[in-house]
Amino acid sequence: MSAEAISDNHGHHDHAPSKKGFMYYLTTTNHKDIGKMYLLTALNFFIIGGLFAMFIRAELAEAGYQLLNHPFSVGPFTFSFSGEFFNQMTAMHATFMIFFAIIPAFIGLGNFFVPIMIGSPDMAFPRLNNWSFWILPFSGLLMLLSFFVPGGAPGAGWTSYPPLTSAAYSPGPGMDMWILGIHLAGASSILGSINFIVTTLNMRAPGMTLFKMPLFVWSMLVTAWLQLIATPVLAGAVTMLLTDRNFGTSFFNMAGGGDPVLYQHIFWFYSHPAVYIMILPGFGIISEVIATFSRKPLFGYITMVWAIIGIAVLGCLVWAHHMFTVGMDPRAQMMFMAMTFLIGVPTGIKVFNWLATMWEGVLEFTTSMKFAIAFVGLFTIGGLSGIVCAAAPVDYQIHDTYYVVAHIHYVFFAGSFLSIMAGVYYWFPKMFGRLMSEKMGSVHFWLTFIFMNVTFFPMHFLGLMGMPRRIPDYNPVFSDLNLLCSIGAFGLGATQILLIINAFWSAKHGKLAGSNPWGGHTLEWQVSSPPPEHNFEKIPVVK
Amino acid sequence: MITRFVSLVAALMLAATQVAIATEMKFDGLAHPLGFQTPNSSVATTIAETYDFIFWITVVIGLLVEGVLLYAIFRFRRSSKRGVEKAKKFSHNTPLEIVWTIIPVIICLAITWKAYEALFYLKRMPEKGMTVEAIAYQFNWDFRYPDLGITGAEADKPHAELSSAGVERYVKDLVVPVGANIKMDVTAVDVLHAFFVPSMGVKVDAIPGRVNHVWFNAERPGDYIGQCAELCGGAHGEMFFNVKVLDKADWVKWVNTRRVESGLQPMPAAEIATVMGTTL
Ligand SMILES: [Cu+2]
Ligand SMILES: [Cu+2]
Repeated sequence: MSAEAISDNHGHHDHAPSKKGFMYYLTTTNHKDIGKMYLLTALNFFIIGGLFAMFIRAELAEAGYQLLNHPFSVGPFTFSFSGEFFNQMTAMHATFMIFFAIIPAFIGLGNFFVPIMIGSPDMAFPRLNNWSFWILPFSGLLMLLSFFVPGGAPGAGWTSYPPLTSAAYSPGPGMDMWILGIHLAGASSILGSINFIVTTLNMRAPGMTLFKMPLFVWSMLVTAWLQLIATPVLAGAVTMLLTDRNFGTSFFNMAGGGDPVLYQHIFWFYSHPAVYIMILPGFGIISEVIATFSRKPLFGYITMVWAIIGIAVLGCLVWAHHMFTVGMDPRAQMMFMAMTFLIGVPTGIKVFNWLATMWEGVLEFTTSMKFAIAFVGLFTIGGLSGIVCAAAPVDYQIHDTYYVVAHIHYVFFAGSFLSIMAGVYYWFPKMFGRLMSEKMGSVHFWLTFIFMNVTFFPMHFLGLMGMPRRIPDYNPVFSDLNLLCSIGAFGLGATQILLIINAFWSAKHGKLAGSNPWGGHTLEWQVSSPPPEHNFEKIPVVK
Repeated sequence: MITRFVSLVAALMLAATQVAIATEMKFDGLAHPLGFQTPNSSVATTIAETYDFIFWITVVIGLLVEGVLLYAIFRFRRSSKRGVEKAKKFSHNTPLEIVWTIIPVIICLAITWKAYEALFYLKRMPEKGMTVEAIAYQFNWDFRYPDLGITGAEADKPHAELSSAGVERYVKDLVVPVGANIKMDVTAVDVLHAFFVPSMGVKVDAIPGRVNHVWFNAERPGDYIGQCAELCGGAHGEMFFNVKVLDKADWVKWVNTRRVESGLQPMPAAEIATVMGTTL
């Protein structure tokens, strides 16, 4: 695919004021600013969610209670962390990483690059774009504030299963704040997805047919559809929870004829697709990065598109594989199990296509490419352990153990996080006009690679041996491996400081990037770095 | 230079970790360190076999993918001899694409068949067997034997292993006879819990307002730790129980001790055997 970007300077001057203050960012409708703000927000919440994880790993470093149940004084006040506090940490770690770090990071990259990659001056609804962004930090803050209300933050897991989340067992307002936070984040996500769908379907430059769109745009389009279909269902589930808690309904209250298992069905109808909301954009990024740094066209473009669509469709039909132990009809378990296995087929196709793209290419190991290759290698582990989890009989043994924790971190860390890093190192020069330090990037990559495996790989063993998740203390036979996980986790957390230093230093002092530092072929590499206010002086024509 | 050094250190550390895991760590009571606990029931054995079948398939696929990936990294890297112009331009290979679609479908079918057989073995409750009720609540378990008219006893001393890290844990026993089908009726009175005994291969949610069923048939006497496996509140991690498997003579003795303690007449051994659905 090639494009003609005609750049005759015809006195079309920048509308942006020279100094950008808070009011500018509050009111900006420029998709590039909004994209950057999404990324910055995601980074902040990633740090918060990461600190929660550090607390969890510190508590689990050894058998016995390390931080919990040890009163300590700060000035005149005496505090003691309780078991409930530990549960708040696990619940909020997942909540922040999922809703406020991974999803916004992908939306941020999408916001910045989808319009440019399809040759559009901006998103279809720029004001809506501003609005969907600004809801997000405040819904995150609302969640954070729940730590300071009586009863504290919700401590029933990010899944918030009733009856533990009912008024009787989670009496404080923290749970209601969580529900409202989910409502707001969900609204932001629904509005954003409408914007992505309309932009992609209506704003493409002449000649940019659907099957000429870069794979990242495809992945964002399919993700947006998933969000649009699934997020309202999550909103429904938590709304029912809210009315059960406050207005005397009995959707999930067995005493009133309701059923707690109903909540799980509705919740997972969103939350399984949510896994794909958090991985499909990563697939898109990896496809761009691997093709560029292998100096080859992407292998099997059409099958890659259909694989994404296939994963999304199948992904909406497998939710009850999270519920094999609730006592479901075995025939239903059979169906959910078989459908889940089938997702392995399109996922496998994607992995094979990436390998084929690298095959007989000329590979250049930039930091971005390193992250992308590590993604292919490690996400495969997460995919394969997913097959193990999906087998209902095996799941009776590993459900709600650390095996599941290991699996989901090979999906969200080796998958989502590594792909976000591949995308950030790849597109940073386009966003800020300067290259990130490759040296520091390389060190960041290698330390991340080592520590993430030290952290998450032993968790498979812990799970197989029978250690349940979400517990602050454990049978002492598990202590060696837990210590290893904790060491890895602290290393992994500390390593991310390199990313922050690299990003903020390079934005000011990095080498100038020029418009196409990597030799990429998609449209964003044909405009200057950073791109002009409306991306293209004239709408490009794609041949 | 830095990159080379860091990647070398990376490789060494990963290798060292693997060796440390494989050799240094000892797990008392686990014949399969780093794997499932030694199965002590046909249920757990069935699960372990299903797991092994799937595990080895995933290992083969995984090694294949990682092998090709590593080969590509070393073979196709850019170097002074391999400039950008050496990159091939192909982007399709229909026969290959058909092969790597069909083979995974066949593997999926194989795994589904294997898992299907196991699923229906585990989920079909045996006709003969003794019913035991497990009732979960924040934060403990009650065990009842409706056909024997007795309940489990309170724990009288802290559990040695589980209290070794400084927290005194009083852990109730779920006493069962060796070699009999134990049919568990599992429920909860307040929030969700889950009945989980790794060595028996059983896990099922305890849900208020519902009774869930699992079964197992313990093969060897001994003590086997079980635990709540569904987040249920602040002391969720404290909901241990101990499955005490007794040989048949001890079991009859235990049943009658409990009957006497509950003010009932001792039961003849033959009658206990009828309840168990086995012979003594
Ligand atoms: Cu799922
Ligand atoms: Cu419990």
